[in-house]
Amino acid sequence: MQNGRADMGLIDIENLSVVFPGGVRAVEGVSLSVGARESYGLVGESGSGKSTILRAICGLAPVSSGSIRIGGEVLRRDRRFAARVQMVFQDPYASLHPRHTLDRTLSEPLAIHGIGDADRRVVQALEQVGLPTSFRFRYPHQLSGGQRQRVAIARALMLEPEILLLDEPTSALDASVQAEVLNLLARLRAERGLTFLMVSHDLAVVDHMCDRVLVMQQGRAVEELPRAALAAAQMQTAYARSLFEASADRML
Amino acid sequence: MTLLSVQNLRVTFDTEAGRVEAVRGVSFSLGRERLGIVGESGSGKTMTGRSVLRLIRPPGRIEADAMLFDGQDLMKLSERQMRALRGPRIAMVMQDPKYSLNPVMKVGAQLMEGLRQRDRMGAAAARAKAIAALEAVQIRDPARVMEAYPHELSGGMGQRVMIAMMLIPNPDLLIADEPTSALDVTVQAEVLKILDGLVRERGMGLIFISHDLRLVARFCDRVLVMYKGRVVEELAAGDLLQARHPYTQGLLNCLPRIGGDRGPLPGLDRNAEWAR
Repeated sequence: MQNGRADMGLIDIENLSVVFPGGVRAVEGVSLSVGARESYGLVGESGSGKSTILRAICGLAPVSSGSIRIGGEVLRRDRRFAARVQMVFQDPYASLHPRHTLDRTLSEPLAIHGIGDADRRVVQALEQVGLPTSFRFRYPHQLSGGQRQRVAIARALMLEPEILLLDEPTSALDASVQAEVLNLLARLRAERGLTFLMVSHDLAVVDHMCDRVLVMQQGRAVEELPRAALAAAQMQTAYARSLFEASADRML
Repeated sequence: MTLLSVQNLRVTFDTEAGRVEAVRGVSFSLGRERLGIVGESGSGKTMTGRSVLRLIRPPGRIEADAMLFDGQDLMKLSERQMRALRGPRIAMVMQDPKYSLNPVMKVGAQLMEGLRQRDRMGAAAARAKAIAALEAVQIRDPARVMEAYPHELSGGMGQRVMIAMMLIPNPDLLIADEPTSALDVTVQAEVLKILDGLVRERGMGLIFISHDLRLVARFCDRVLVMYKGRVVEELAAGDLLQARHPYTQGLLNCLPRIGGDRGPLPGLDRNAEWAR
Protein backbone atom coordinates (compact mmCIF):
# COMPACT_ATOMS: atom_id res chain seq x y z
CA MET A 1 0.00 0.00 0.00
CA GLN A 2 1.25 3.46 -0.81
CA ASN A 3 1.69 4.63 2.77
CA GLY A 4 2.24 1.31 4.44
CA ARG A 5 5.51 0.54 6.14
CA ALA A 6 6.96 -2.92 5.81
CA ASP A 7 6.08 -3.95 9.34
CA MET A 8 2.52 -2.80 9.02
CA GLY A 9 -0.55 -4.52 7.78
CA LEU A 10 -3.34 -2.98 5.79
CA ILE A 11 -5.47 -2.86 8.91
CA ASP A 12 -3.57 -2.14 12.12
CA ILE A 13 -5.40 -2.02 15.39
CA GLU A 14 -3.39 -1.20 18.46
CA ASN A 15 -4.60 -1.46 22.00
CA LEU A 16 -8.16 -0.64 21.02
CA SER A 17 -10.70 -0.06 23.76
CA VAL A 18 -14.36 0.71 23.25
CA VAL A 19 -16.36 1.93 26.23
CA PHE A 20 -19.99 2.75 25.64
CA PRO A 21 -21.74 5.58 27.46
CA GLY A 22 -22.87 4.07 30.73
CA GLY A 23 -19.53 2.40 31.25
CA VAL A 24 -19.96 -0.89 29.38
CA ARG A 25 -16.46 -1.94 28.31
CA ALA A 26 -17.14 -3.81 25.08
CA VAL A 27 -13.54 -4.06 23.87
CA GLU A 28 -10.43 -3.80 26.05
CA GLY A 29 -6.91 -3.43 24.75
CA VAL A 30 -7.21 -5.48 21.57
CA SER A 31 -4.41 -5.36 18.99
CA LEU A 32 -4.42 -7.06 15.64
CA SER A 33 -2.89 -6.60 12.23
CA VAL A 34 -4.32 -7.80 8.93
CA GLY A 35 -2.11 -7.86 5.86
CA ALA A 36 -3.23 -6.79 2.39
CA ARG A 37 -5.26 -9.51 0.69
CA GLU A 38 -5.40 -11.49 3.89
CA SER A 39 -8.61 -12.89 5.35
CA TYR A 40 -8.78 -12.55 9.12
CA GLY A 41 -11.46 -13.98 11.38
CA LEU A 42 -12.81 -12.92 14.77
CA VAL A 43 -14.59 -15.57 16.81
CA GLY A 44 -16.08 -15.66 20.28
CA GLU A 45 -19.37 -15.73 22.11
CA SER A 46 -21.94 -13.01 21.79
CA GLY A 47 -20.85 -10.09 23.89
CA SER A 48 -17.18 -10.87 23.35
CA GLY A 49 -16.70 -7.63 21.41
CA LYS A 50 -15.99 -9.09 17.98
CA SER A 51 -18.69 -7.14 16.15
CA THR A 52 -17.84 -4.03 18.14
CA ILE A 53 -14.34 -4.05 16.60
CA LEU A 54 -15.85 -3.93 13.10
CA ARG A 55 -18.24 -1.22 14.20
CA ALA A 56 -15.39 0.80 15.73
CA ILE A 57 -13.51 0.66 12.44
CA CYS A 58 -16.59 2.05 10.66
CA GLY A 59 -17.21 4.72 13.26
CA LEU A 60 -20.37 3.07 14.55
CA ALA A 61 -18.84 2.52 18.00
CA PRO A 62 -16.76 5.02 20.01
CA VAL A 63 -12.99 4.46 20.17
CA SER A 64 -12.07 5.25 23.78
CA SER A 65 -8.37 4.60 23.47
CA GLY A 66 -5.88 2.96 21.17
CA SER A 67 -5.62 3.44 17.43
CA ILE A 68 -6.97 2.06 14.20
CA ARG A 69 -4.88 2.56 11.07
CA ILE A 70 -5.80 1.66 7.53
CA GLY A 71 -2.79 1.45 5.21
CA GLY A 72 -0.68 3.19 7.84
CA GLU A 73 -2.94 6.22 8.08
CA VAL A 74 -4.81 7.10 11.22
CA LEU A 75 -8.44 6.63 10.52
CA ARG A 76 -10.46 9.58 9.28
CA ARG A 77 -13.93 8.55 8.33
CA ASP A 78 -14.38 10.73 5.28
CA ARG A 79 -15.44 9.93 1.76
CA ARG A 80 -12.11 8.34 0.96
CA PHE A 81 -12.57 5.97 3.86
CA ALA A 82 -15.93 4.83 2.49
CA ALA A 83 -14.26 4.10 -0.81
CA ARG A 84 -11.67 1.90 0.89
CA VAL A 85 -13.61 0.13 3.62
CA GLN A 86 -17.12 -1.25 3.40
CA MET A 87 -19.21 -3.42 5.67
CA VAL A 88 -21.68 -6.27 5.12
CA PHE A 89 -24.08 -6.79 8.02
CA GLN A 90 -25.53 -9.95 9.49
CA ASP A 91 -29.19 -9.53 8.80
CA PRO A 92 -30.04 -8.98 5.16
CA TYR A 93 -33.63 -8.32 6.21
CA ALA A 94 -32.60 -5.29 8.24
CA SER A 95 -29.66 -3.85 6.33
CA LEU A 96 -31.33 -2.85 3.06
CA HIS A 97 -33.70 0.11 2.81
CA PRO A 98 -37.14 -1.48 2.46
CA ARG A 99 -38.54 1.30 0.27
CA HIS A 100 -35.62 1.66 -2.13
CA THR A 101 -35.33 -0.47 -5.25
CA LEU A 102 -32.09 -2.36 -5.74
CA ASP A 103 -31.24 0.18 -8.42
CA ARG A 104 -31.51 3.02 -5.94
CA THR A 105 -29.64 1.13 -3.21
CA LEU A 106 -26.77 0.33 -5.57
CA SER A 107 -26.53 3.69 -7.31
CA GLU A 108 -26.65 5.82 -4.16
CA PRO A 109 -22.96 5.40 -3.27
CA LEU A 110 -22.07 6.31 -6.88
CA ALA A 111 -24.11 9.51 -6.68
CA ILE A 112 -22.55 10.51 -3.34
CA HIS A 113 -19.05 9.96 -4.67
CA GLY A 114 -19.75 11.65 -8.01
CA ILE A 115 -19.04 8.54 -10.04
CA GLY A 116 -20.72 8.53 -13.42
CA ASP A 117 -21.78 5.67 -15.62
CA ALA A 118 -24.18 4.46 -12.93
CA ASP A 119 -26.34 2.56 -15.38
CA ARG A 120 -23.59 0.25 -16.52
CA ARG A 121 -22.10 -0.13 -13.03
CA VAL A 122 -25.38 -1.19 -11.44
CA VAL A 123 -25.98 -3.84 -14.10
CA GLN A 124 -22.40 -5.04 -13.74
CA ALA A 125 -22.70 -5.21 -9.95
CA LEU A 126 -25.80 -7.39 -10.15
CA GLU A 127 -24.04 -9.71 -12.59
CA GLN A 128 -20.97 -9.86 -10.35
CA VAL A 129 -22.97 -11.23 -7.43
CA GLY A 130 -24.94 -13.61 -9.60
CA LEU A 131 -28.31 -11.87 -9.60
CA PRO A 132 -30.39 -11.56 -12.79
CA THR A 133 -30.40 -8.00 -14.12
CA SER A 134 -34.18 -8.20 -14.26
CA PHE A 135 -34.07 -7.80 -10.44
CA ARG A 136 -32.83 -4.25 -10.82
CA PHE A 137 -36.10 -2.50 -10.03
CA ARG A 138 -37.29 -4.90 -7.37
CA TYR A 139 -37.65 -4.08 -3.69
CA PRO A 140 -35.91 -6.06 -0.92
CA HIS A 141 -39.15 -7.75 0.21
CA GLN A 142 -39.39 -9.37 -3.21
CA LEU A 143 -36.11 -11.23 -2.64
CA SER A 144 -35.11 -14.23 -0.54
CA GLY A 145 -32.59 -13.89 2.29
CA GLY A 146 -29.71 -15.16 0.17
CA GLN A 147 -30.59 -12.82 -2.68
CA ARG A 148 -30.71 -9.90 -0.26
CA GLN A 149 -27.31 -10.77 1.13
CA ARG A 150 -26.01 -10.75 -2.45
CA VAL A 151 -27.42 -7.25 -2.84
CA ALA A 152 -25.73 -6.19 0.40
CA ILE A 153 -22.43 -7.52 -0.96
CA ALA A 154 -22.98 -5.80 -4.31
CA ARG A 155 -23.69 -2.52 -2.50
CA ALA A 156 -20.52 -2.85 -0.45
CA LEU A 157 -18.51 -3.38 -3.64
CA MET A 158 -19.95 -0.42 -5.60
CA LEU A 159 -17.08 1.87 -4.64
CA GLU A 160 -14.47 -0.82 -5.29
CA PRO A 161 -13.10 -0.91 -1.74
CA GLU A 162 -9.97 -2.78 -0.69
CA ILE A 163 -11.38 -3.97 2.60
CA LEU A 164 -14.64 -5.71 3.39
CA LEU A 165 -15.77 -5.97 7.00
CA LEU A 166 -18.09 -8.96 7.22
CA ASP A 167 -20.27 -9.26 10.31
CA GLU A 168 -21.71 -12.80 10.40
CA PRO A 169 -22.56 -12.55 6.69
CA THR A 170 -24.14 -16.01 6.46
CA SER A 171 -25.51 -16.82 9.89
CA ALA A 172 -29.08 -15.82 8.93
CA LEU A 173 -29.01 -18.09 5.87
CA ASP A 174 -29.83 -21.74 5.19
CA ALA A 175 -26.92 -24.15 4.69
CA SER A 176 -27.17 -24.33 0.90
CA VAL A 177 -27.55 -20.54 0.62
CA GLN A 178 -24.65 -20.07 3.02
CA ALA A 179 -22.51 -22.19 0.70
CA GLU A 180 -23.44 -19.99 -2.27
CA VAL A 181 -22.69 -16.75 -0.42
CA LEU A 182 -19.36 -18.06 0.96
CA ASN A 183 -18.38 -19.16 -2.55
CA LEU A 184 -19.32 -15.74 -3.89
CA LEU A 185 -17.22 -13.98 -1.23
CA ALA A 186 -14.22 -16.25 -1.88
CA ARG A 187 -14.47 -15.66 -5.63
CA LEU A 188 -14.75 -11.88 -5.27
CA ARG A 189 -11.77 -11.83 -2.92
CA ALA A 190 -9.65 -13.73 -5.41
CA GLU A 191 -10.78 -11.62 -8.38
CA ARG A 192 -10.47 -8.24 -6.72
CA GLY A 193 -7.66 -8.85 -4.25
CA LEU A 194 -9.88 -7.91 -1.33
CA THR A 195 -8.91 -7.99 2.33
CA PHE A 196 -11.49 -9.52 4.65
CA LEU A 197 -12.04 -8.95 8.35
CA MET A 198 -14.78 -11.38 9.21
CA VAL A 199 -16.79 -12.06 12.35
CA SER A 200 -18.51 -15.39 12.85
CA HIS A 201 -19.54 -17.65 15.67
CA ASP A 202 -19.24 -20.69 13.41
CA LEU A 203 -15.70 -22.02 13.55
CA ALA A 204 -16.23 -24.04 10.38
CA VAL A 205 -17.13 -20.90 8.42
CA VAL A 206 -14.15 -19.02 9.81
CA ASP A 207 -11.85 -21.94 9.10
CA HIS A 208 -13.14 -22.14 5.55
CA MET A 209 -12.75 -18.43 4.85
CA CYS A 210 -9.87 -17.12 6.97
CA ASP A 211 -6.08 -17.43 7.10
CA ARG A 212 -5.82 -16.43 10.75
CA VAL A 213 -8.32 -16.31 13.58
CA LEU A 214 -8.47 -14.25 16.76
CA VAL A 215 -10.42 -15.81 19.62
CA MET A 216 -12.09 -13.21 21.84
CA GLN A 217 -13.75 -13.40 25.22
CA GLN A 218 -15.39 -10.61 27.20
CA GLY A 219 -13.85 -7.85 25.14
CA ARG A 220 -10.32 -9.17 25.25
CA ALA A 221 -8.18 -11.01 22.75
CA VAL A 222 -7.55 -14.52 24.07
CA GLU A 223 -5.47 -16.18 21.39
CA GLU A 224 -4.53 -15.77 17.75
CA LEU A 225 -4.35 -18.93 15.68
CA PRO A 226 -3.21 -19.60 12.14
CA ARG A 227 -5.67 -21.75 10.24
CA ALA A 228 -3.53 -24.87 10.44
CA ALA A 229 -3.36 -24.65 14.24
CA LEU A 230 -7.13 -24.34 14.45
CA ALA A 231 -7.73 -27.48 12.41
CA ALA A 232 -5.07 -29.36 14.35
CA ALA A 233 -6.57 -28.22 17.68
CA GLN A 234 -3.28 -26.62 18.74
CA MET A 235 -4.72 -23.97 20.99
CA GLN A 236 -2.77 -22.74 23.99
CA THR A 237 -5.58 -21.32 26.10
CA ALA A 238 -8.34 -23.20 27.87
CA TYR A 239 -11.02 -20.88 26.52
CA ALA A 240 -10.06 -21.34 22.87
CA ARG A 241 -10.01 -25.04 23.47
CA SER A 242 -13.47 -25.09 25.03
CA LEU A 243 -14.82 -23.14 22.08
CA PHE A 244 -13.22 -25.62 19.73
CA GLU A 245 -14.55 -28.60 21.62
CA ALA A 246 -18.08 -27.22 21.60
CA SER A 247 -17.71 -27.07 17.81
CA ALA A 248 -16.25 -30.52 17.41
CA ASP A 249 -19.14 -31.65 15.21
CA ARG A 250 -18.00 -29.05 12.65
CA MET A 251 -15.10 -31.36 11.78
CA LEU A 252 -17.45 -33.94 10.25
CA MET B 1 -44.10 -47.13 23.93
CA THR B 2 -45.59 -44.72 21.47
CA LEU B 3 -46.37 -41.31 22.89
CA LEU B 4 -47.40 -39.57 19.72
CA SER B 5 -48.35 -40.96 16.36
CA VAL B 6 -49.07 -38.69 13.43
CA GLN B 7 -50.57 -40.08 10.25
CA ASN B 8 -50.75 -38.22 6.98
CA LEU B 9 -50.59 -34.70 8.37
CA ARG B 10 -51.35 -31.88 5.94
CA VAL B 11 -51.24 -28.14 6.54
CA THR B 12 -52.80 -25.97 3.86
CA PHE B 13 -53.08 -22.21 3.52
CA ASP B 14 -55.64 -20.76 1.16
CA THR B 15 -54.16 -17.45 0.11
CA GLU B 16 -55.08 -14.87 -2.49
CA ALA B 17 -52.36 -16.25 -4.69
CA GLY B 18 -53.76 -19.74 -4.45
CA ARG B 19 -53.39 -22.72 -2.18
CA VAL B 20 -50.07 -23.25 -0.41
CA GLU B 21 -49.37 -26.69 0.99
CA ALA B 22 -46.87 -26.22 3.79
CA VAL B 23 -47.00 -29.83 5.02
CA ARG B 24 -48.00 -32.59 2.61
CA GLY B 25 -48.68 -35.96 4.13
CA VAL B 26 -46.21 -36.30 7.00
CA SER B 27 -46.37 -39.41 9.18
CA PHE B 28 -44.19 -40.26 12.14
CA SER B 29 -44.35 -41.69 15.62
CA LEU B 30 -42.48 -40.79 18.75
CA GLY B 31 -41.69 -42.65 21.93
CA ARG B 32 -39.91 -41.30 24.98
CA GLU B 33 -36.96 -40.30 22.85
CA ARG B 34 -35.40 -37.40 21.00
CA LEU B 35 -36.72 -37.00 17.48
CA GLY B 36 -35.05 -34.42 15.26
CA ILE B 37 -36.81 -32.71 12.38
CA VAL B 38 -34.38 -30.98 10.02
CA GLY B 39 -34.84 -29.06 6.81
CA GLU B 40 -34.29 -25.64 5.31
CA SER B 41 -36.58 -22.67 5.77
CA GLY B 42 -39.93 -23.33 4.16
CA SER B 43 -39.61 -27.11 4.45
CA GLY B 44 -42.58 -27.29 6.83
CA LYS B 45 -40.71 -28.36 9.96
CA THR B 46 -42.07 -25.59 12.18
CA MET B 47 -45.59 -26.08 10.81
CA THR B 48 -45.35 -29.78 11.65
CA GLY B 49 -44.40 -28.94 15.23
CA ARG B 50 -47.16 -26.36 15.62
CA SER B 51 -49.74 -28.74 14.16
CA VAL B 52 -49.27 -31.15 17.03
CA LEU B 53 -50.53 -28.40 19.36
CA ARG B 54 -53.10 -27.31 16.75
CA LEU B 55 -51.52 -23.86 16.87
CA ILE B 56 -52.14 -22.86 13.27
CA ARG B 57 -54.46 -19.96 12.71
CA PRO B 58 -56.86 -19.53 9.80
CA PRO B 59 -56.47 -19.31 6.85
CA GLY B 60 -54.23 -22.25 7.69
CA ARG B 61 -55.94 -25.62 8.02
CA ILE B 62 -54.68 -28.81 9.63
CA GLU B 63 -55.82 -32.18 8.33
CA ALA B 64 -54.62 -35.61 9.38
CA ASP B 65 -55.89 -39.15 9.25
CA ALA B 66 -55.05 -39.36 12.91
CA MET B 67 -52.87 -37.60 15.45
CA LEU B 68 -52.81 -39.84 18.49
CA PHE B 69 -51.29 -38.53 21.69
CA ASP B 70 -51.44 -40.87 24.65
CA GLY B 71 -54.50 -42.64 23.23
CA GLN B 72 -56.49 -39.52 22.31
CA ASP B 73 -56.92 -38.25 18.77
CA LEU B 74 -55.86 -34.61 18.90
CA MET B 75 -57.81 -33.93 15.72
CA LYS B 76 -61.08 -34.82 17.43
CA LEU B 77 -60.63 -32.82 20.63
CA SER B 78 -62.54 -29.62 21.25
CA GLU B 79 -60.64 -26.38 21.59
CA ARG B 80 -61.36 -26.51 25.33
CA GLN B 81 -59.84 -29.98 25.62
CA MET B 82 -56.83 -28.85 23.58
CA ARG B 83 -56.26 -25.98 25.99
CA ALA B 84 -56.12 -28.45 28.84
CA LEU B 85 -53.41 -30.39 27.01
CA ARG B 86 -51.28 -27.43 26.00
CA GLY B 87 -48.78 -26.79 28.73
CA PRO B 88 -49.32 -29.60 31.22
CA ARG B 89 -49.10 -32.43 28.66
CA ILE B 90 -47.54 -30.98 25.49
CA ALA B 91 -45.37 -27.88 25.61
CA MET B 92 -43.53 -25.96 22.94
CA VAL B 93 -40.39 -23.84 23.16
CA MET B 94 -40.53 -21.22 20.44
CA GLN B 95 -37.64 -20.09 18.35
CA ASP B 96 -36.86 -16.63 19.59
CA PRO B 97 -37.05 -15.48 23.22
CA LYS B 98 -37.16 -11.87 22.00
CA TYR B 99 -40.57 -12.43 20.44
CA SER B 100 -42.00 -15.16 22.62
CA LEU B 101 -41.67 -13.68 26.09
CA ASN B 102 -43.98 -10.87 27.11
CA PRO B 103 -41.78 -7.76 26.93
CA VAL B 104 -43.72 -5.76 29.54
CA MET B 105 -43.97 -8.44 32.19
CA LYS B 106 -41.23 -9.47 34.61
CA VAL B 107 -39.81 -12.93 34.06
CA GLY B 108 -40.97 -14.07 37.49
CA ALA B 109 -44.56 -13.02 36.86
CA GLN B 110 -44.53 -14.88 33.54
CA LEU B 111 -43.17 -18.02 35.14
CA MET B 112 -45.74 -17.92 37.95
CA GLU B 113 -48.73 -17.02 35.79
CA GLY B 114 -49.60 -20.58 34.89
CA LEU B 115 -49.12 -21.85 38.42
CA ARG B 116 -51.31 -19.14 39.86
CA GLN B 117 -54.07 -19.26 37.25
CA ARG B 118 -54.14 -22.89 36.23
CA ASP B 119 -52.99 -24.65 39.35
CA ARG B 120 -54.48 -22.08 41.79
CA MET B 121 -51.22 -22.10 43.67
CA GLY B 122 -50.43 -19.53 46.37
CA ALA B 123 -47.93 -16.76 45.63
CA ALA B 124 -45.15 -18.06 47.86
CA ALA B 125 -45.41 -21.64 46.59
CA ALA B 126 -45.54 -20.48 42.96
CA ARG B 127 -42.48 -18.33 43.53
CA ALA B 128 -40.55 -21.19 45.06
CA LYS B 129 -41.46 -23.42 42.14
CA ALA B 130 -40.48 -20.79 39.58
CA ILE B 131 -37.10 -20.31 41.23
CA ALA B 132 -36.55 -24.05 41.28
CA ALA B 133 -37.37 -24.18 37.56
CA LEU B 134 -34.78 -21.47 36.82
CA GLU B 135 -32.21 -23.37 38.86
CA ALA B 136 -33.01 -26.51 36.88
CA VAL B 137 -31.93 -24.75 33.68
CA GLN B 138 -28.65 -23.63 35.29
CA ILE B 139 -29.51 -19.99 35.87
CA ARG B 140 -27.14 -18.93 38.59
CA ASP B 141 -28.95 -16.03 40.24
CA PRO B 142 -32.63 -16.92 39.84
CA ALA B 143 -33.77 -14.23 42.28
CA ARG B 144 -32.37 -11.50 40.02
CA VAL B 145 -33.75 -13.09 36.85
CA MET B 146 -37.22 -13.31 38.44
CA GLU B 147 -37.20 -9.50 38.83
CA ALA B 148 -35.82 -8.83 35.33
CA TYR B 149 -37.71 -7.90 32.18
CA PRO B 150 -36.98 -10.00 29.07
CA HIS B 151 -34.93 -7.21 27.43
CA GLU B 152 -32.54 -7.29 30.38
CA LEU B 153 -31.57 -10.88 29.61
CA SER B 154 -29.11 -12.16 27.03
CA GLY B 155 -30.35 -14.47 24.29
CA GLY B 156 -29.08 -17.53 26.10
CA MET B 157 -30.73 -16.55 29.37
CA GLY B 158 -34.01 -15.77 27.58
CA GLN B 159 -33.95 -19.15 25.89
CA ARG B 160 -33.36 -20.90 29.20
CA VAL B 161 -36.19 -18.92 30.82
CA MET B 162 -38.52 -20.17 28.09
CA ILE B 163 -37.41 -23.75 28.62
CA ALA B 164 -37.91 -23.36 32.38
CA MET B 165 -41.39 -21.97 31.79
CA MET B 166 -42.37 -24.88 29.56
CA LEU B 167 -41.04 -27.45 32.00
CA ILE B 168 -42.83 -26.20 35.12
CA PRO B 169 -46.01 -28.24 34.45
CA ASN B 170 -43.85 -31.29 33.72
CA PRO B 171 -45.09 -32.09 30.20
CA ASP B 172 -44.90 -35.52 28.60
CA LEU B 173 -43.94 -34.11 25.25
CA LEU B 174 -41.81 -31.07 24.53
CA ILE B 175 -41.63 -29.56 21.06
CA ALA B 176 -38.56 -27.38 20.76
CA ASP B 177 -38.38 -25.20 17.66
CA GLU B 178 -34.78 -24.16 17.03
CA PRO B 179 -34.21 -23.82 20.77
CA THR B 180 -30.50 -23.21 20.39
CA SER B 181 -30.15 -21.39 17.09
CA ALA B 182 -29.82 -18.00 18.73
CA LEU B 183 -27.19 -19.24 21.17
CA ASP B 184 -23.42 -19.43 21.20
CA VAL B 185 -21.90 -22.85 20.93
CA THR B 186 -20.92 -23.03 24.58
CA VAL B 187 -24.36 -21.96 25.83
CA GLN B 188 -25.92 -24.24 23.23
CA ALA B 189 -24.08 -27.18 24.75
CA GLU B 190 -25.53 -26.32 28.18
CA VAL B 191 -29.10 -26.05 26.88
CA LEU B 192 -28.77 -29.38 25.08
CA LYS B 193 -27.52 -30.98 28.25
CA ILE B 194 -30.59 -29.72 30.11
CA LEU B 195 -32.96 -31.10 27.46
CA ASP B 196 -31.08 -34.37 27.37
CA GLY B 197 -31.36 -34.76 31.14
CA LEU B 198 -35.11 -34.22 30.96
CA VAL B 199 -35.57 -36.94 28.37
CA ARG B 200 -33.48 -39.36 30.41
CA GLU B 201 -34.70 -38.52 33.90
CA ARG B 202 -38.34 -37.66 33.36
CA GLY B 203 -38.89 -39.91 30.35
CA MET B 204 -40.14 -36.97 28.35
CA GLY B 205 -40.59 -37.19 24.58
CA LEU B 206 -38.79 -34.46 22.63
CA ILE B 207 -39.32 -33.17 19.11
CA PHE B 208 -36.27 -31.11 18.25
CA ILE B 209 -36.74 -28.89 15.21
CA SER B 210 -33.56 -27.48 13.69
CA HIS B 211 -31.91 -26.50 10.46
CA ASP B 212 -28.54 -27.67 11.80
CA LEU B 213 -27.93 -31.21 10.59
CA ARG B 214 -24.74 -31.79 12.47
CA LEU B 215 -26.24 -30.67 15.73
CA VAL B 216 -29.22 -32.97 15.27
CA ALA B 217 -26.98 -35.88 14.36
CA ARG B 218 -25.07 -35.42 17.59
CA PHE B 219 -28.01 -34.81 19.86
CA CYS B 220 -31.06 -36.79 18.70
CA ASP B 221 -31.94 -40.48 18.48
CA ARG B 222 -33.80 -40.34 15.20
CA VAL B 223 -34.05 -37.75 12.44
CA LEU B 224 -36.70 -36.82 9.90
CA VAL B 225 -35.40 -34.82 6.96
CA MET B 226 -38.05 -32.58 5.43
CA TYR B 227 -38.12 -30.99 2.02
CA LYS B 228 -41.00 -28.93 0.67
CA GLY B 229 -43.54 -30.25 3.13
CA ARG B 230 -42.60 -33.91 2.87
CA VAL B 231 -40.38 -36.24 4.84
CA VAL B 232 -37.80 -37.33 2.28
CA GLU B 233 -35.76 -39.47 4.63
CA GLU B 234 -36.00 -40.94 8.11
CA LEU B 235 -32.94 -42.40 9.77
CA ALA B 236 -31.15 -43.08 13.01
CA ALA B 237 -29.19 -39.97 13.96
CA GLY B 238 -25.93 -41.88 14.08
CA ASP B 239 -26.39 -42.84 10.42
CA LEU B 240 -26.92 -39.30 9.21
CA LEU B 241 -23.51 -39.20 7.58
CA GLN B 242 -24.47 -42.29 5.60
CA ALA B 243 -27.70 -40.65 4.40
CA ARG B 244 -29.02 -42.06 1.14
CA HIS B 245 -31.31 -39.33 -0.08
CA PRO B 246 -29.54 -36.88 -2.39
CA TYR B 247 -31.15 -33.93 -0.59
CA THR B 248 -29.77 -35.00 2.80
CA GLN B 249 -26.39 -35.67 1.21
CA GLY B 250 -26.48 -32.30 -0.51
CA LEU B 251 -27.28 -30.51 2.75
CA LEU B 252 -24.33 -32.18 4.44
CA ASN B 253 -21.93 -31.56 1.60
CA CYS B 254 -22.57 -27.85 1.35
CA LEU B 255 -21.40 -27.25 4.93
CA PRO B 256 -17.86 -26.01 5.44
CA ARG B 257 -15.70 -28.18 7.70
CA ILE B 258 -12.94 -27.32 10.12
CA GLY B 259 -9.79 -28.49 8.38
CA GLY B 260 -11.63 -29.02 5.10
CA ASP B 261 -10.17 -27.99 1.78
CA ARG B 262 -11.01 -24.45 0.85
CA GLY B 263 -12.27 -25.00 -2.64
CA PRO B 264 -15.74 -23.80 -3.56
CA LEU B 265 -18.43 -25.54 -1.50
CA PRO B 266 -20.68 -27.80 -3.54
CA GLY B 267 -24.02 -26.22 -4.25
CA LEU B 268 -27.31 -27.98 -3.74
CA ASP B 269 -28.86 -28.93 -7.05
CA ARG B 270 -32.50 -29.38 -6.28
CA ASN B 271 -34.33 -32.04 -8.16
CA ALA B 272 -38.03 -31.50 -8.87
CA GLU B 273 -38.46 -35.22 -8.24
CA TRP B 274 -37.70 -34.82 -4.51
CA ALA B 275 -40.85 -32.77 -3.95
CA ARG B 276 -42.98 -35.21 -5.95
